[in-house]
Amino acid sequence: MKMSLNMQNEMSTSVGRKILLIEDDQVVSEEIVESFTTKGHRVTSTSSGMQGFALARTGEFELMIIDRGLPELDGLSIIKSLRAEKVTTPAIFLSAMGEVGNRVDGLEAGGDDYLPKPFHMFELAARAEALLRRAAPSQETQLRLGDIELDLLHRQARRGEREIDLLPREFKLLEYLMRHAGQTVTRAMLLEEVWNYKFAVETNLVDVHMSKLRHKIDGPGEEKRLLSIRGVGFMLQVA
Amino acid sequence: MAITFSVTLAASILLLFFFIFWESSVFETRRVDHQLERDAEILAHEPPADVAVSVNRRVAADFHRILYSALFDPDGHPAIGNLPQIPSGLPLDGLAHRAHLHVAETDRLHLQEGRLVGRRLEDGRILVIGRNVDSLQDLEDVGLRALEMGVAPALVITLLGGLIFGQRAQRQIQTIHDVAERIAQGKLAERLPILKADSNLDRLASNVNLMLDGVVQNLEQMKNSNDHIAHDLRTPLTRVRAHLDRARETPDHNDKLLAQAIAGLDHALRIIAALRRISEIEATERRSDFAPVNLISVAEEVTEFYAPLAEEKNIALSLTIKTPQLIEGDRDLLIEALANLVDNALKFSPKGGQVKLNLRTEDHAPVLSIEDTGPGIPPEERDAVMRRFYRSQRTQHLQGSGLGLSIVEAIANLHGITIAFADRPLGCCIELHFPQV
Repeated sequence: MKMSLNMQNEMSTSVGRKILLIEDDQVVSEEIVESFTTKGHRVTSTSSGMQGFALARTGEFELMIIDRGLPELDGLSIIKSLRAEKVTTPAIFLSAMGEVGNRVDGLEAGGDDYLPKPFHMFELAARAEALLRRAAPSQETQLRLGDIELDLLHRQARRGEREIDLLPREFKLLEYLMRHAGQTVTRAMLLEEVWNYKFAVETNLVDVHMSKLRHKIDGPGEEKRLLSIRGVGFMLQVA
Repeated sequence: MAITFSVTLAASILLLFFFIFWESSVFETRRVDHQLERDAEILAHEPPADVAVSVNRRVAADFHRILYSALFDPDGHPAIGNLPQIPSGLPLDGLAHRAHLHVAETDRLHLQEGRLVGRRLEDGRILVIGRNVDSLQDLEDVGLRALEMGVAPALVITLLGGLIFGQRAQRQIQTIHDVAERIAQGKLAERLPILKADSNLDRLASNVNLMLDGVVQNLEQMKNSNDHIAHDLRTPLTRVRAHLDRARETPDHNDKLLAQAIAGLDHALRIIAALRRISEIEATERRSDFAPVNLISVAEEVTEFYAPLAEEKNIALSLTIKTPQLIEGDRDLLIEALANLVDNALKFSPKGGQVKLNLRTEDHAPVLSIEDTGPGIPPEERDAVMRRFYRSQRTQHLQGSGLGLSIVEAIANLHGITIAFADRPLGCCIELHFPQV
């Protein structure tokens, strides 16, 4: 908890968003409510799948956090029914069930992210942030963040006048960071989204890749843009 | 079941017997009738003077005394032959009928039963010929004796056999029930009885026994790994407890202790995550997600993924490919397995060392080897390293869940890959032998 409090200052958070939490585990539920309320969000929480479903159907929420294994009406069914009714509120599944196979089920049911229990609160916070800020998929071929430019068509990266020579994976990594600029992204998010790996890597491999990328982006004398957020992940700062 | 079967069998035997019996007696009667009617017809058309001679000849030629032949005057008095009178009730229509009659034999009359034909000749006399059916009676007697001597014992044997076999099966099923109950109560050493009769029930029992062997083996493995899990989780958790205890005693300087406690919990969580991953892989249906996978691209991707780490540790990470390799498999899992192996190799190799990946063909099957310049694995420890949680004494200081190789093994099993250790003077060389394509 302390960690997420500290984080608040470091990441520029979108505040005052309406979040629906459907979770029957009292302890987990209270922790999530406290964490998001502290960040200035308004959280409506319920332990009942039926009630949660009724609330979600109003369409007034901007994010749903749903436990997959609820007693009467389980999370998967709730999301399936909501998606069938064209309720598109982004949803994160929390699940005590195994990882890879169940994650696929969750995403296929219409969930936007899937977090196995136990999880760090910072992991949930980062993923919630990513979904709250998610923009409609764009057709643009140029990404720009201050003096950092990414030409998606010609696979070229520049910082100011300087051309950055990137390996294909580094390019993908930078693209992901630019699309999530100003947000904290976790190692697990990077592994899932950039490498498409769903397994845990024991060594600090992501850090090593990020440190190589940082050397290429933040040249000598240039302002540091790619930050490490201790114990949590990384953030590409908005200029 | 057995009893129903034997009763049905017995009924069929009886039915068959009566069918044969009835058919043969009816057939024989019909044959006799036909012959008599024909003979009567022939005699009736002989010249009147010759009829008496023919009748006499029939009587004389009948050594066995089974034929009746007689000629009566138009008023019914006997003229010649071996019948004292026209059997009462015999229609004179030239067709065979059953009749009782008295036969003169030496000095007395015998009441006999026979098939007889009576017809009036053109001159008014009456001709009666016939045949004793005692021989038919004999046939029936033979049939009845056969029933007594053959069919009845057969029936008894069938019914008794059914009863005995039925009871045996019943007893075996009862024993199976009893044993199953004891197994359910936890007596896993119990096995179902097998009667060596090679019956369906025996085959079923021996299959169930095989299944029980497998279950017991799995349970033992589970118990072993439960012990290991308990031990391996206790180590970091004990440390966490110690850190938290100390943090409580020194509330002013507890940041470092709390960080250590969190690291300990993370370690424990990593172990749990790895265990869940192993069960998840082991529960995967073989080939459910299999598709053609290019092993080159798998090896290249993992090499690329680990290149920065190798660079940082100043380890030369190289990949040599002799031949292109396509196999059937789950690409994500193969990457996970190889990543674990390369991770290990880099972890165990000292700075300035080498990690070499090599993809080649041996006996028409792909082989992928991962060779490092670490401390190596002594031959006597090679089986043990595949065991869950095993850590060679020499590498126990290194961090990790200790389950990486178990994950590799689970993925290898799913793909039919054999894991082998090649001998090297220095370091460790693990070979993945893929099945032939």
